[in-house]
Amino acid sequence: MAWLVLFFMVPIWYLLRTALSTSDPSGNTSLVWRWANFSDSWSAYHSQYLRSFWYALLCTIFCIAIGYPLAYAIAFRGGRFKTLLLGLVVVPFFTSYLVRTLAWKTILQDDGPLVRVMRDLHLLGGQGRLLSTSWAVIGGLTYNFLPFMILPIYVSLEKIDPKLIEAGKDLYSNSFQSFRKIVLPLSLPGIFAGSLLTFIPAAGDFVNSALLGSTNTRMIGNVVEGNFLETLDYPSAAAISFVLMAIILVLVTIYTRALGTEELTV
Amino acid sequence: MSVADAPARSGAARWLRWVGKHALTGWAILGYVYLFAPIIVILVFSFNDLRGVTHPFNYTWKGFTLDNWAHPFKYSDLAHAMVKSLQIALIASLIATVMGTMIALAQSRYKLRATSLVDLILVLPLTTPEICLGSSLLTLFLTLGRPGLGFTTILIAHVMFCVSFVALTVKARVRGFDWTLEDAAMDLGAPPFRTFTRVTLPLIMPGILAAFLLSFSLSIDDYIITVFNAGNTITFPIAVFNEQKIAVPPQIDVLASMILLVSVGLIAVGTVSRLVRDSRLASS
Amino acid sequence: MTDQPRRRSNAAPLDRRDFLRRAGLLGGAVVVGGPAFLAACGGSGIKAKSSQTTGAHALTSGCPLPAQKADKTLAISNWPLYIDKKTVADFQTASGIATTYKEDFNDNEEYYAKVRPILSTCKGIGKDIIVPTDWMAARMIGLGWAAKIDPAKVPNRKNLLASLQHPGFDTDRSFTMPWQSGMTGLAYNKKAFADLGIPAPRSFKDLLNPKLKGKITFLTEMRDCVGLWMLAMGKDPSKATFADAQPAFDQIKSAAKSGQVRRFTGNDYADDLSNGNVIAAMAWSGDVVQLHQNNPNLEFVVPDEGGMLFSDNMMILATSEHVADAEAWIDYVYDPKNAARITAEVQYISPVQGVAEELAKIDAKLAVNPLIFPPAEVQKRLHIFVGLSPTVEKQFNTAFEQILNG
Repeated sequence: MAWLVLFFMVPIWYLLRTALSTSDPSGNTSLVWRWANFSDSWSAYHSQYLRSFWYALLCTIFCIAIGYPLAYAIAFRGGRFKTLLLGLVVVPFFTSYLVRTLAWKTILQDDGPLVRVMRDLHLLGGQGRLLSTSWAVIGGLTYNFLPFMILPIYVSLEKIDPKLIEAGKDLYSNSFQSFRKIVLPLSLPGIFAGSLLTFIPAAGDFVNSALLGSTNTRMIGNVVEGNFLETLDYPSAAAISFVLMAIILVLVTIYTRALGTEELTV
Repeated sequence: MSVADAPARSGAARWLRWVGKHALTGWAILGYVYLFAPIIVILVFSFNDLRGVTHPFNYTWKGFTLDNWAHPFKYSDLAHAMVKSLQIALIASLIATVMGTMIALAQSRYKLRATSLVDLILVLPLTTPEICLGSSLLTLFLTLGRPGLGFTTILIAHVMFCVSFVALTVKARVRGFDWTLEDAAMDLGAPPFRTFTRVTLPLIMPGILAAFLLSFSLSIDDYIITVFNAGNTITFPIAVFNEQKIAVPPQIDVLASMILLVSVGLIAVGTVSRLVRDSRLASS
Repeated sequence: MTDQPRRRSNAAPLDRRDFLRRAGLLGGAVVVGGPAFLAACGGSGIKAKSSQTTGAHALTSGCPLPAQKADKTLAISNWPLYIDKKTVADFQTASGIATTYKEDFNDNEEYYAKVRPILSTCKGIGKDIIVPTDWMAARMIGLGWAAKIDPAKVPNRKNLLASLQHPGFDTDRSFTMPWQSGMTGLAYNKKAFADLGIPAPRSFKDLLNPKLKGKITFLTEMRDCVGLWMLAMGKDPSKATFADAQPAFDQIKSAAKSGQVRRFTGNDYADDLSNGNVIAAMAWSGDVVQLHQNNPNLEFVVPDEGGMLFSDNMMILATSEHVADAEAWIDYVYDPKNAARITAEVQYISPVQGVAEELAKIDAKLAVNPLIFPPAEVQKRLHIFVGLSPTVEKQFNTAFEQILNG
C-alpha cells in the first residue's frame, strides 16, 4: 500500500510541481508556481487534446459496435465452446503490443491488399490511402483496446439468468424487444466498465499515432512524449500530462454519476 | 385468407430470425478476423525471406524461408532486450503479487478504517492514462537526486501498475472466502504462519496465480510507462520501437511469435491439466 | 575512355579536400553561438573560460575523468547503418579490446534527452564513444561531457583531412574526430515518377505537385528540414536568422497540414521509400546509395537550390573508464585501409585522407561515385546550418515542434 502511495500519489505531486516550474534550455527546472503553464498548454495544444478525445470516443464506439455482438455471440451462442471462444479473444494479445501495431502497417500499406480492394470498391479514391491517416490510427486504437471492451461485456452478459431471457421471450413478442428490455439493461454495467477501460488508455496513447499516423494525427500523448523525452521541456510536458489526467478524471466522474453507478471494478 | 397468411408470416419471421441469427454469427466471425489479422501477418511474415537486404523492412512479402527461425537471435540487441524484459517482468510481477495479495487480504480480512480510500487509491492507477503515470514517475525520479534511470526505475514503475491489478484480482477471489476456516485452524492449535501456508494460501492460490500471470503479461508488454523511466535500459518493446525507425527485421516477428506460442502453449497445458484433475476428482 | 575515370578518381580527393574545408567552416558558424551557449549552459567555471570560444577548457569544469580500468573493453554508440560488418571484429582481433558496438544513436535530440539526466551528474551511461552531429557535439563539449583525446595515442590523426582539423566548436580537435560526413537532399523513385508522367524532381518545390499528395516525406531533423526549405525559398541557412526562416516554416507547415507530406521521419523514410508508400523523400546521401543496391530505381539528388552538409563526430565521454581503448579505436578507424572498408559499406563522405586510393583497390566504381566524392559543382551547392545560440535554437525548435505536432 505504501508502495502505491509512494510511487503513485507522490509522483503526481511531483508532476504538479514540475508543471508549475520553468526550465532553462538544458532542461533544469525550478519551481516558480507558474500557473500559466496550464493555460499555455491548453492554448498551444487544444487541437491535440480535442483530437485525442475524439479518437478515443470513436475508438470506444467502434469497440462497442464490434465487441458487443461478439461478446453476445460467445455468451449465448458459444455453447460448450464458450471458454475456447473467449480464449481466442485474448490470444492475439499475448504478442507484443508494438509488433501487433507494426503488423497493421503491412495490412494497411498503399500497395497492400486492403487498400487495393477498397480502391476497387471505390471506398477509397484512386490516390486514397489508409496508412498515415486518422482512420489507421483509430483502427489501431480500436484493435488494441478491443478485449478491454469484450471481456467486461461478456462477464455482464454471462451473469444474466437464462430464465429471465426465457421469461422475456414470453412477455415480448419478438426477440429484439426482449433484448432491448432485458438483456441490454442488464449488460449496461459491462458496457460501462468496458468504455472506461477503452476510452482512458486510448485518450493517452501515442504508440498508434506514432506508428500508423502522421503529423496530422498527433495526439496529446505524442506531445507529452515529445516534450518530455525529446525537447526536454519538462514543465510544459508535465502541465499537459496533468491537465489530461484532470480532464479524464472529470469525464469519468460525470460519466459515473450520469450512469448512476459507483462501481468501477469489474 | 387468414389461414393462408399465417404460415407466410411465420415464414417471414423465421427468415428474419435466420438472418438475425446468422448476421450475428457473421459479425462475430468478422470480429475474429479483425482480431487475428495482425497475428496471422506476424506468423506468416516471420518466414519472410529478407536475407541480403541491408535495410530489411518486413512489410512486403519477398519469399519463404526458414532462416529467420533458424537464427531467431541474430540481432543480439533484440535478444538482449527480450532477456531484460523477461527479467523485469518476472521480478516485478513477483513483488507486485506479494504486495497486492497482502493488500487484498488485509482489506477483506480486517475491516480497515479507510477501506474506501484504499479502494480509491487502488482504482486510480487504472483510471489514469499510462502516459500520466509514466510521466509523473519520471518527474519524481528526476527530482529525487536521480538514482539514475534504468533497471530499478523500470522495476518500480512496473510494480506500481501491477499492484493494483493484483490486488483487485485477488480481492475478487477472496470475496467469497470463508474466514472461519482460518479461525478453525487456529483453534486446532495451528500457529498463524502455518495456518496461512496450509489453509489460506492454497484456497486463494488460483487467484494469486491468475494475478501473477496478468502482471507478467502487462509488464512484459508495457511500452508507454517504461519508455519514460528506462533511461538507457532497453526492454523488448523499446527495442522494437527504436528498431522500427531503422529496420524491421523478420526476427521481430519470430520473437513475437515465440512469445505467443509459448504463452498459448502454457495456457493449453494448464487447461488440459485442470480438466484432467477435475475429471479425476469427479470420478473419485 | 579508360582515361576519364582515372582522371576523375585522381581529381576526386582534391575536390573533396576543398569541399571539406568548407565543412570546416562549420566551426566558424558554431563560434557565433559558442560563447553565449557556453555561458548559458555551463556552471560559473565554464562561463569564465568561455571567452576563449573553443570549449577546450570545459573539461576542467566538466566531469572529472573517473579512475581508468585496464580490462580492455570498449562500448560505442553510433548511428544505425554506419559501419561495415568486419571492422569491429577486426579491431577486436588486432587490439584485444572487447568492443560492444551499438547502433542506438538514432536522433541527436532524443539521445541527448536520454543521457542528459545521467551525464549531468557525471555518472557513466555505459558508453565510451558516442557520435553526435557537429552542433550536438558543440553542445556536449560545452557541457563538459567530452574527454580530451591524447594526440600521442592517436598517431593516425595525421590522416584527418586538413579542412576538418579546425572546426570552431573544437578548434584543434582536442575532443572529437569526425566519423563520416554526408549530404542531405532529395531521394526519389524514378520509375514511379515516370509512371505518374511527371519529370524527376530537381527541387523541393517540385514535391508540391498535387499528384504527389501523400507520397512524400520530410525529415524530423530540424536543421535538415528547415535548411533545405530555406534553400528552396531562396534563403541561405548558413547565415539564417529566425525571421529568414519564416517562409520555410510556413511552407513546411502548409505542406504538412494539407497532407501533401505523408509524415516526418528519421531513418525510417527508407521503409516507406522501399515499399512504395512514398516516392520522394528528404534523405541522407549514404542511406540512398545503400538503398539503391536493393532498388535501382531509387536516386539521390542535391536539389538545384542546394543541399545540406553534416558531419558526425566521435567523442570520448568524460565518464569513460576506457579512454585508452577508445583512443585505440579512433586510431584504428583513421587508418585509410580500415576507413576505406567502412566507406565501401556505408558510402558516406570519409574524413580520412587516402581513402579514395584505398577504395579504388576495393571497388573502383565507388571510388568515383559522386555521392561519396562529390564533384566541385555539387560541393558549391552544399550548405551548413548556422550555429544557433540557445535562445534562438529554442525559437527554431519550438516553431518546428509545432509543425510536427500538427
